[in-house]
Amino acid sequence: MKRLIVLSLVLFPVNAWAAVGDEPVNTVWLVVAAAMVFFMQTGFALLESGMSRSKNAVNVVMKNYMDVCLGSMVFWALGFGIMFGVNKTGFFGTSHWLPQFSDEWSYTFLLFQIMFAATATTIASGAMAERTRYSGYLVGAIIITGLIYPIFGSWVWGGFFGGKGWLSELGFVDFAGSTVVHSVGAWCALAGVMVVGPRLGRFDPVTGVARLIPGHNLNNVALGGFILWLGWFGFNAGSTLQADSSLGKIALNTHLAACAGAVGTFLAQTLMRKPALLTHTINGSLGGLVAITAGCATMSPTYAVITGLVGGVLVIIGTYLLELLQVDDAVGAIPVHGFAGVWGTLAAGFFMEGDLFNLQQLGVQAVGCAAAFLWAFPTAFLTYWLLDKLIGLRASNLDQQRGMDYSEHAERGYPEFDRLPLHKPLAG
Amino acid sequence: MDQQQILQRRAIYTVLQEWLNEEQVVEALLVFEEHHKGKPSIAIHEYLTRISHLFEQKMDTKQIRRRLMEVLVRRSNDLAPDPMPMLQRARAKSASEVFDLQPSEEQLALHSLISALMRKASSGQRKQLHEQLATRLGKRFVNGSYDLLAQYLITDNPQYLARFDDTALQEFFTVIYVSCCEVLGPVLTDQWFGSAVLQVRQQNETAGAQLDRYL
Repeated sequence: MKRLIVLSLVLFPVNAWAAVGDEPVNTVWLVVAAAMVFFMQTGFALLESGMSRSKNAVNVVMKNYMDVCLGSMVFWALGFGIMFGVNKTGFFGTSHWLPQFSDEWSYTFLLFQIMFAATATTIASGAMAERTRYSGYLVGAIIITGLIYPIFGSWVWGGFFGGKGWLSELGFVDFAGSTVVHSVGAWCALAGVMVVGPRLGRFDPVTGVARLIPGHNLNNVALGGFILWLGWFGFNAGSTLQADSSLGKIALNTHLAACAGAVGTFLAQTLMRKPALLTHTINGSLGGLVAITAGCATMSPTYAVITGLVGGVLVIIGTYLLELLQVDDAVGAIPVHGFAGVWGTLAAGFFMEGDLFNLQQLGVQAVGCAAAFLWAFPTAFLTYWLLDKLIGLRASNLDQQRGMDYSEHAERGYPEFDRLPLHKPLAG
Repeated sequence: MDQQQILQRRAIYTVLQEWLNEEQVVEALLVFEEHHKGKPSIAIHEYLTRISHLFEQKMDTKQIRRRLMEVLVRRSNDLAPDPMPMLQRARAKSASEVFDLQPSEEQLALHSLISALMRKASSGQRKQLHEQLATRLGKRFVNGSYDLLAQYLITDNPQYLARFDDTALQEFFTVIYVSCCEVLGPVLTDQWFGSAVLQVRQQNETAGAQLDRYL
């Protein structure tokens, strides 16, 4: 019985909004949470541009910026209907395109979900940074926000205007989106980096060993990490969709998992006799945050710490694994959002308060994770492959040599301090 | 086998005259001789794609291939004569003209940049770089152009650069950059290129400004 109550809270948070959504405090909370999730884009922009070379910083920020702008419009017009519209088949919604609502609360809900969609989209930008053409990337972002993300989302969170997603029917638990938002974004990123290929010289052509390409501003990386951490309180606690007494525990779990993620990374680096890098430490925290996202409402703090700790370890293992496979993820987005996302989703089923170590639930969680990969990766791969063939996805060698800031935007992030004059001077 | 190759050459010569001017036909035939001779006729599309890129013009490669196939099954007396003597003359002319031209100031600036870069490399790195460059230049430059650039890298003589236009030299510089990235890694490459450009600009402001067209 207790399990049923917990599950109903997790699976149908929007049933709650129907009942309590008209209370002003809930609207205020959700708008604040949406603004916090929006602020995460600042974190992504700082983190990703800081991890890139100075000649590509503007391009990375531009992609983040346009992810929000284009992603929000596409999700509002198309994605929301697919994700939350009437879901008769269990596979996609078929109503509420360009939504008009009769109640004010639904607009608040739409605002919050738009911010989520923009987050899922922007994950690929970091992984594909420094060698992806701007136009090709943006078209890919539109397809992710308009189709790939909302279709999978409808399987888990869909059917609020009728029907139900098939994963939701199975009992799949993903409170705030370890899989729905983060893993889906990461699998799209994986497809993107496989199509676009590694940055010039990233891997030694003879030995295949990965070469470090350090970012140009580690202070920005740290600042971005802190901002993402802050935004995550809105991401997870906002997913309650109401200002109730559960917010404190959700926020506490979120915080503890982030701390544990960094500790897990430190332990993994120490055990592997690797240097304790700032970038890896911050990615470890983010791995902890991604991991706790699925189960932040249904775990005790002890298990939140374990979830975050393992998430941090997985980020390090995943980073080295990708390097071994010669997959060039410029910022480590795939281990953070993909590997930690899968772990977090499994942990949400395994460490569910009141129903610990339920193997049947673990199986359902595994099905959900597999479905996310099997849907998002091939469709994103096909999308990026077609984009590469039709409009070109990989920047030319000359453009990479000059830097994407100059070649894509005719701008330079640091004109006064640029000590690498590999660009033509800017016009005018 | 030789007869088959002559037949292919004559067929290409016959057909390409319908799409390209005489100078381009000679260039296209030289590309064929250097990179596609001996390959089966079925692989002709690869060659046609390459020459359409070479001349930066949109060619209906399907139509040309169809025409080539038609021509290849004709009796040989319907084909144009073997263009080999013409190709030999073109090669000889190209070789003798190398030292007739003097490099411009811009080309000398580029030369000083490349020289500065190459001087930074150890002998082991230079060997690896030359191996990388040989492969990459072979993909981007054909026949005489490839030979001239290879000669340039070996002799460090700027007169070889005088035979190229700005676009080709920009492409050459990018090939050097990419090869350096592969051999030295992107971080060291950017550092070397950055400091070499600064060095040229500090030594000669005019030459430094002229470098911009190749960067």
